[in-house]
Amino acid sequence: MSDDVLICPHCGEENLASATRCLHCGLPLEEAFAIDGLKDISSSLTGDFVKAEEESLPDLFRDLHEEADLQKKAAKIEALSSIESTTNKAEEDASEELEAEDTIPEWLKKIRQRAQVEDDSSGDLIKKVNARDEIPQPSEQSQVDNEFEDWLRQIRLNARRDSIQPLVEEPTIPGLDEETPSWLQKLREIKETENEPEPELKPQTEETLPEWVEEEQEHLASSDSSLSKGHPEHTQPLQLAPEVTQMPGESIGLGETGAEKIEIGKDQTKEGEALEKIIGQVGFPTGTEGKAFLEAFEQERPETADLLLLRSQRDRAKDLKDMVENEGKAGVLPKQQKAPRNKFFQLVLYLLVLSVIALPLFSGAIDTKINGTMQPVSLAFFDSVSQLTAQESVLIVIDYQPGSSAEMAAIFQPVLDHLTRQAVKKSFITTYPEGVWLTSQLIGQEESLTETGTTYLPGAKIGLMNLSLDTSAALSPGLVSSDLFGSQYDLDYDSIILLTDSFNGGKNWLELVGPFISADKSLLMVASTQEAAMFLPYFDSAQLDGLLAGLNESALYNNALGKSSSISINRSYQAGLLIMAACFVIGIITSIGVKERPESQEDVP
Amino acid sequence: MKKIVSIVIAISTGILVIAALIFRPQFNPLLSLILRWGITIGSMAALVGIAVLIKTHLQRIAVGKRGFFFSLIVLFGFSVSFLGGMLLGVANPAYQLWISSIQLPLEISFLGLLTLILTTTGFRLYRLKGWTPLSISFGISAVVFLIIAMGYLQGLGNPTLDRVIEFIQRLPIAGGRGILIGMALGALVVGIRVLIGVERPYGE
Amino acid sequence: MNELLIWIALGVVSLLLIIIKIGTGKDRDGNIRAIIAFEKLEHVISKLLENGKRLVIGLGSGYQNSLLSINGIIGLPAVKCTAKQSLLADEKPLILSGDGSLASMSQVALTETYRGLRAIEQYKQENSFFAGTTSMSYTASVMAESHAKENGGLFLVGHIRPEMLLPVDLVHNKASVSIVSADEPGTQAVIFPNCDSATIGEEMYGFVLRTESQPWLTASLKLQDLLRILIVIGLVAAIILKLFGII
Repeated sequence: MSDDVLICPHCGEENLASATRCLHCGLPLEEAFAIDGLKDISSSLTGDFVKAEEESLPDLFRDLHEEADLQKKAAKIEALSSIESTTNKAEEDASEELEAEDTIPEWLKKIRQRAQVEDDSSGDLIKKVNARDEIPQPSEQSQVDNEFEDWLRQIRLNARRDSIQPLVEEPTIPGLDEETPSWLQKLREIKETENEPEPELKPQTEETLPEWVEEEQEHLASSDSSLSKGHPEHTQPLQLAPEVTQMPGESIGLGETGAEKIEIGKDQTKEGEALEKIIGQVGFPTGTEGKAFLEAFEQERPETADLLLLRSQRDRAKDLKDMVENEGKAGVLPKQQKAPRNKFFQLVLYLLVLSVIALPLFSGAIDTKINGTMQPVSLAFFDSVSQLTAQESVLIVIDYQPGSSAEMAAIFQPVLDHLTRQAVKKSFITTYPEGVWLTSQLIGQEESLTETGTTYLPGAKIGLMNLSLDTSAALSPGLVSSDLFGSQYDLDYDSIILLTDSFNGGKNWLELVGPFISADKSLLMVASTQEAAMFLPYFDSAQLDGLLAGLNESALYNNALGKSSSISINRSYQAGLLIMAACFVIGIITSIGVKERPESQEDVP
Repeated sequence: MKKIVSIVIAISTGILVIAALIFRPQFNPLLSLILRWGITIGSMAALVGIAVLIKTHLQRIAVGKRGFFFSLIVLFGFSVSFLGGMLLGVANPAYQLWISSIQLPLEISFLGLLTLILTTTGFRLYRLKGWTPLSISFGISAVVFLIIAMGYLQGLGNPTLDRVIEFIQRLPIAGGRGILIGMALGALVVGIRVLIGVERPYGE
Repeated sequence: MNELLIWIALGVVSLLLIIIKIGTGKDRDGNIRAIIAFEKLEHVISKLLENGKRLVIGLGSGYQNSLLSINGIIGLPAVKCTAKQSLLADEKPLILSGDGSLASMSQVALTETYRGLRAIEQYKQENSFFAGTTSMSYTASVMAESHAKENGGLFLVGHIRPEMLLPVDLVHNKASVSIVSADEPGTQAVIFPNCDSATIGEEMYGFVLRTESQPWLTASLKLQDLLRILIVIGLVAAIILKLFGII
């Protein structure tokens, strides 16, 4: 097990062997990796160690190794000498690299080269961990560059804002904590001085502006003067904020921070329309810069570079704000195109079905005999019950859930009447805890019954197996008992009638208990209509002696007893079936020519 | 070690039950004992499950998770039913009437909803599934059997029609038995996988 | 004699399974046709992980306080696989069981899965629990959990009763995805028109997500096919012999 586990050197938690980052603290696990045979990598950079390693190589490999080293050295020197604008630091780095490379063994170089080419050996799982932790860390140089660019744009913004009425509000960034970046602090400071009348700053004689600022001024002045609509506001020189004298040490060519080519999408917001109005007032730059804008934008939406910068700045600030707010939350989900469900139609359909089913019930209880003959399975059921005499006993198994009790009670009622007529002794057993009160409801309808008690058989399938053991042991007459929970079963019955609403329930009885019931005893079943077909094979194979399924068969059973049935329930049942069939037919007709549900509706939300 | 113990217990229990079912006279007492242990363990597992369920709902209430009000209702219903059963006894007619008065309408209403949903299924079957051989045969067979189940055709008293109806009613049996045979084979193979220790649902 | 035949039959089937497994070796896929429902399930799991939603897995209901049939454990590999894939996800899968022992097994499966990934702290008991003692109460629990905002899909597997159509319809109304793999033919018939994808017949045993025991699963499926062929041959032979009056 320890071979599969990597202990994090930082937090001491266990990680998978293939992990490169700790799952618990997120820190890299590089320090945990140790290369066999190499105690300290840093010490391997010494020449003595390399020489010792080289001495162990065969002569040929050693020659090749030395030759390769020499070739690499020569190539590096050429590369270095061809670079014109290298700084001292770069030269120092190159020399250090060269010295380091001399001392690094060849095998380590190959490993590093392969590592650069090949994917990480960590699995998808660790990659996901790494992806989550990978936050681009811009270098110090680029951070400074970005700060400078933003500062410069803000300067331009302030300059333009004096002449242009602010139609677009600057974004506020609430919720940022105290650790705001310096460039944002500068922005806020600039905002605070926004309302103050900015003095017209001119470069002081003692402090001259850098060349790039002057160039920018000239460029902007030229673009202003060439505006089609010639607004005089733009002829003012660039007004610099006081902070302009404090410039960062690094200077970057203006071309790199010049007009940004910002793609404006076709879906313009209202702000875009407002900007269009501003642009209409300000005009459109000409020259090379103007051409670039023309290429990027649509003709009817000309905008100035400064306004574009304003929008980009706003967009970036908005993105930053969203990122800060959504940190730790689930991702923004795209809107799902839900199928337009006609709920009114659904409600109408439901009401129609309910009314059709309920209408016969309110038409009054009409007792009459229905036409038809019982199916052979029902006839066999009738004959089996008819053969029972007054001295015999029947075990009635309640194996349905309360939801089906109304149907099961309606189907079983004629059978109960028949058993009463035969003066058969009845016992009840149930595999559901609710069967106890279901039995009470069932026999409560027949006042002449004397209840012998309802026994609860726990464990369902296992309980049936246990019952079958007792049954097999009780093939000889006598009382056998399962003393679980103190109940005792008298299993010497002449017939077992099983009331079930599910195929699995009936199957368990037929297959677990049925084989151990002697041949002279009958096993009968009362089931709901939908399960009837599945039990027919049991009847065909003589595992089942009779099957009564459905309200129709129950009404015919009543006919056979010479009684009349209340047809309202039958009519209601038949009406329900009819309307269901009608729905299918209408669905078929209306779906002709309709394509299958679009794939988008199957997409995961 | 723990894994090996659980595997050994599972395999030995399975083999013992099969052997006892096959060699019944000799192994009856042992099988009866194992089955009773199984019933007891199953019941205890249900009790443990109920305890976890209560704990889950209590946590939701404590945290104030959305929908914790329904957890309150669940716990209230459970407490009342449990205490009532303990105090009055499950055989008490009043207790049974009380429980049945709540459970019966709830379950029947569920089945009623089921009926309504099945009704709307007829409308959207082909919009959802398209016109495939499976969906076409499904729809047509549903209509045919719904009409047969109404009983009007049987009430006509035509012997030939009765024979045709009986033949049609037996058609699903063939397909159903085929599916059941396949399911039984699958269950058999899964059971064998459990017996030889390949399938370990009780652990990793 | 019958008992001896049963023993022989069981032994032969077991040997066949081992022989087929040795023959297939480490073949994970074999020539088994893709089962659309489980392919969709893989796609659904990935999408849910991306969108920060969770999958509700219903392991089926049964009789109260009793062990389910063997089909109840079919969903446990899905539990393990989903737990592994959602290790770094915002929402972990929710497993609802309709049987006490199945609930215990699902919790053990989750615990062992997270322990194997060295992330046991990610296991929470509230992500797997016993949802209802009766089939209707289980249905109601699944409906309630499916309706929650953070749930994006429903996968029902195992001993599923027809009334589970209610949560499937609810999920459909929410424009979420539902995949059902039931063991009862009646349930398959009821749910098939309403869910996004369903397995028919013994397809539920072809759970071919990436589990460790997949070579054994492949061998099991091939054994099932072999046994089915043998049964068909036996049935046809019996019919012919019966027709000729031999038996």
